Amino acid sequence: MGDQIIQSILDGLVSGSIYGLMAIGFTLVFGIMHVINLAHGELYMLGAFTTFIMVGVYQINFFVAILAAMLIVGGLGFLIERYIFRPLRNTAMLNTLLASIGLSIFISNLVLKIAGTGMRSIPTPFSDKSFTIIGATISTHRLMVLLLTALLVAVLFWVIKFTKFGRSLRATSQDQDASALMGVNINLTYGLVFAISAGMAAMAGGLIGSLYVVDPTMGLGPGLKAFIIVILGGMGSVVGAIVGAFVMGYAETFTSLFWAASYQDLVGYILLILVLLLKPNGLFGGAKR
Amino acid sequence: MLKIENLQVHYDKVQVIHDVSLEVNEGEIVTLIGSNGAGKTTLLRTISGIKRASGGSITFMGEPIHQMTSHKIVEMGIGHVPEGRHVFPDMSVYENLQMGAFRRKDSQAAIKKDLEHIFDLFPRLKERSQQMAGTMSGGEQQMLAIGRAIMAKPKLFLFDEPSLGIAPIIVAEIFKMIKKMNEEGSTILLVEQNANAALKISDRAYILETGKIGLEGQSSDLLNDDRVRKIYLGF
Amino acid sequence: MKKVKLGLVIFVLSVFAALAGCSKGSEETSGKSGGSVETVEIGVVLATSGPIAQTGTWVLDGHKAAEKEINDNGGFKVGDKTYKVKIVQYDSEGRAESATAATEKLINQDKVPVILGTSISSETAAMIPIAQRAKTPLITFVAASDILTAQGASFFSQAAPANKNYVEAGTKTMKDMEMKNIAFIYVDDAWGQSYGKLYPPAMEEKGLKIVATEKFAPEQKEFMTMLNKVKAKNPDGIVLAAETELAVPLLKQLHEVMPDVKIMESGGSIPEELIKVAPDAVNGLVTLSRAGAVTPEITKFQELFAKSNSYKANSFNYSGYDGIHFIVDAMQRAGTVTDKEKINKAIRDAKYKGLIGTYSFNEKGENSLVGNRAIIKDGKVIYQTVNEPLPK
Repeated sequence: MGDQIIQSILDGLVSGSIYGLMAIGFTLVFGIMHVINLAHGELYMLGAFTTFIMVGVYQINFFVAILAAMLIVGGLGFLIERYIFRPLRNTAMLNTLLASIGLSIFISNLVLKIAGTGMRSIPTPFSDKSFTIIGATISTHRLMVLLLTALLVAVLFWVIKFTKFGRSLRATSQDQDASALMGVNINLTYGLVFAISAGMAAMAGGLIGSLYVVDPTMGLGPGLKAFIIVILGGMGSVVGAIVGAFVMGYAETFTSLFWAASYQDLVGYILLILVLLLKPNGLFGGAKR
Repeated sequence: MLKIENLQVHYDKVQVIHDVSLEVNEGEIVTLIGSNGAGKTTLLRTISGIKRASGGSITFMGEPIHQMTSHKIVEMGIGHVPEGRHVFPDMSVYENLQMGAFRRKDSQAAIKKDLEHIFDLFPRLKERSQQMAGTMSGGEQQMLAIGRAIMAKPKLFLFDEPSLGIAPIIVAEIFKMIKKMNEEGSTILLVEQNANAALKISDRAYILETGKIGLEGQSSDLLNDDRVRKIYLGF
Repeated sequence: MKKVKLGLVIFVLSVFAALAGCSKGSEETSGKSGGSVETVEIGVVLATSGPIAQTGTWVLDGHKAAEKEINDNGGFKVGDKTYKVKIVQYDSEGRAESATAATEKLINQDKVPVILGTSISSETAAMIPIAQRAKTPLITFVAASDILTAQGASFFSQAAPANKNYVEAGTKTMKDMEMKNIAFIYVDDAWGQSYGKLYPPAMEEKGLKIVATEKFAPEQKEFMTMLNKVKAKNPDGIVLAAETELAVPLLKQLHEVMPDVKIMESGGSIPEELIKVAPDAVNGLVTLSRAGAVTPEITKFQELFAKSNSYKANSFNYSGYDGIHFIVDAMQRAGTVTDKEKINKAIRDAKYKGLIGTYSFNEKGENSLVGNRAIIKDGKVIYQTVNEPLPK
C-alpha cells in the first residue's frame, strides 16, 4: 500500500498540472477581463487538432508543432477578443458568457463538420521508457507534461510578478480606468491576455491530447473542469487556480485509489460544494469588489 | 496648451456636457468649479480619452486629441489624478509609482532618479514603499496618486477633486503641493468642489453648471463675485 | 444598448451554426419520388454526440448504407405495393433523457411504425417502457446488457449479441490466451455493469482467478491511478469492457503502465479503429466481435459501403446494415408497413440471416447470436470463431 500511495502522489501531481494548465488560462481571462470564457475547452481542442495536423499529417517535430499550435490558437484568441468580446466590453457579464457559450458550440460543430466524429491520435516522439522515482513510476511523456507545465507556470509567474508587462496586467485587473490613465493600452492588453490564455489551452491540448484521444468534443470535459477548478480556487486568482488544480487532481487520484475510478467526478463536485459552503469566494477569492 | 471647443458628451442618450469651450495656457493653474453632477469628472475623463466625445474638439499642444486612445494621450503629456485616487490596491507603493512611468521610454536610471524625487516630496511614501496601496489612508493614497502622475512627467496635470474625503490638514498640504508644482513649471487643470481653496491658488477659473460653462474669469474676480460667493463659497 | 444586441446576435448565430452542425439522418433522403411509391419512415435513436458518439455514428452509417441500397434498387415490396425507406434519426447524446425524448417524438410526432436504437444500454433501458406503453416495436442491434430483456417487455427485442452470449466466448478466449491472474476493468454504465455481474461467476466456474476488479466512468480520460492500482496486483491478463471511444485512451495508458500484459476486450471495441488510433498500444489484443470470419456477404457489403463512406466498414456498420434489412424483412412477412402489432410479431418470429449471424428470438426477446473474436496482430485483424485456435 505504501508504494501505491507514493505512486498516487506522483499521479496526482501529473493530473494536477494537467488541470493547472487549463485552469490558469481560464482564470487569467476572468481576472483581467471579467469574462467567463466557456469556449476555453474548445481552444484546447483546437490546440490538439492543430498539433495533430502538423505532427500526424505533415510529420513536423512534436515540440515545434505544439509551439506552432500555441501561436496559431493564441492568434485566434487575439482575434476572438477583438471581434467577439471587445464589442461586448463594459456590458453585463451575461453577454460575454452567452457569447462564449455560442462560440464554444460554434467551434466544436465547425470542427465536427470539417473533421467528422472520428477519433485521432497524435503520434509522440516519446519512448516507452519510464522512470522510477522512490518506487513510483512515470512515463517519459507524463514526465514531460509535468516539467513543461512547471516551466510554463514559473515563466508566467515571473512575467506577472517582475516584468513591466506583468505589472500592467495586475494593474489592469485591479483598476482598468486607472491603468488607461497610466498609459496602458487596454485593447492590446486584453488581446494579449486572451491570446496567452488561448495559447496555454492549445499547449494543454497538444500535450494532453496526445495522451488521450483527439476528437471534436474533447474540449467539453476539460473546459468544464477548468471552470470548476477556478471556482474552487477563487475566480481570477492564478494561485487559486493552481492550488485548485492540485486539490482536484489529488481528490480524484485518491478517490480512484481508495474507492473506484468511476466516482472521481462525483468527489470533485462534492469537494466544490463543500468549499463553496465554507468559503463562498473559493479558496483564494478575496471578498473584494 | 489645451483648447476645448464646443465639446459634447453623452452617456447613452443623456447629454452630460453641452457645448463646453475652455482653454488652459502653459504655466497656468485653471480651476473648474461646479456642483455635484455638473459634469466636471466627465469632462476630465473625456480629455484623457477614457470617455469619447460625441461632438466638438479637444486640442493639446496644437494636435487634436479627442479621437486618440488614452495611452496615446498619456504619451502626449497629459497626467490625470482621478477622483477617488484610484491607486492600484493590491500593488505596493513602489509598484504604483512604477506604473506611473509606464509610458516613459527614457532610461531606468532616470526613472529611478524621479522615484527618489517623489520620495523627497512625500517622505511618507518612502516609509511605506513596500506597503500595499489599498491599506493606506485616504490622504496617503492621494499623495501616491499625485506622485504616480508626476512619474509620467506630464506637461499638463488634471486633478479631479484632490480634497475629496481627506483630512483638512492634509488637504492644505496637497494644495500647497499643487501650487509648488505649478511654480516649478507644471500646467494644471484643477477640478474642485472646495471652491474657496481652489480659487485661491489658481489663475483663472470656469464654473460648470449642468454641463455648460456658466461663468469664467480671473480667479481673484470670481472669488469676489456675489453669485459665486453665494452658491459655491457658502458665504 | 447596441452592444447588448450584438451579443445576442452572436449568440443566435452560434446556435444556428450549431444546429446546422447537428446533422439529422433524414436530410438527404428525397421523400416521395413517384406517384405510386410511398415512403416508410423507420425511427432511429442513436447517440451521435456525447462520450460514446463514435459507436452510434458507425451504426447510423450502416443504417444509411442499407437505406440507400434499398432505395437505389427501387424500394421494397409489401404485397403489391412498393415502398421506399426513410430513416428518421434523433441524437440521444449518450443521455437517457434525450433518448426518451427522442422516443416520444418518434412515436407521437413522426408516428413511425418501428424504432431502432440505441447503441448504449442505459439509454435503451429507458426507452423500453415508453415503446411498450405505445405498443411500438423497439429493437436494438447494438445495446447488449442483460438488463434490457430482463424488463420482460413484449415490444422490445434485443438483436445485439447479448453479453450473456459473449461471456461464454470471453471465458473461452481467456483460457486460450492462457491468462491466470486476471484484472477485470469495466465501464460503469449499464452495459459494463452487466459484465460486472456476469463475468465473475462464469470465470470462477472455469477456474480463472480475478485478482482485481475496477470500474470507471464513461466520461473518464485519465486512468493512471486505477491502472497503477491494478498493476500492484501483478495480473498476467486484463479483461476489459470498454466502448472504442473509452478503450483508446485506456489502452494507451495501459500500454504506459503494463506494456507486456495480455489484454482481452469484451466486444465494445472495433479492432480496426484501435489499430488506426493507437497502433502501438494494441498489438496482440483480442476483442470479442459480433462478426466472425469474413463471408462473401460481408465482402459485398464492404464494397457497397466503401462507395459512400471514407472508411472501411466495421462490425457496427454490419449491425446497422442488418437492422434496416431485418425490419424490411419483418414488414414483408407481416404484410403491412403500419400495423405495429403485426410487425412486432413478425420481428419476434424472425429467422433472418444477416451479416453477423442469424437473428431469431425467444419469448423474452433474447437472441441466439454468439460471440466471435478478432485478434490484432502486426497491424492486421484476424476474425475467427472461438472454436478455432488462436493464431500463433
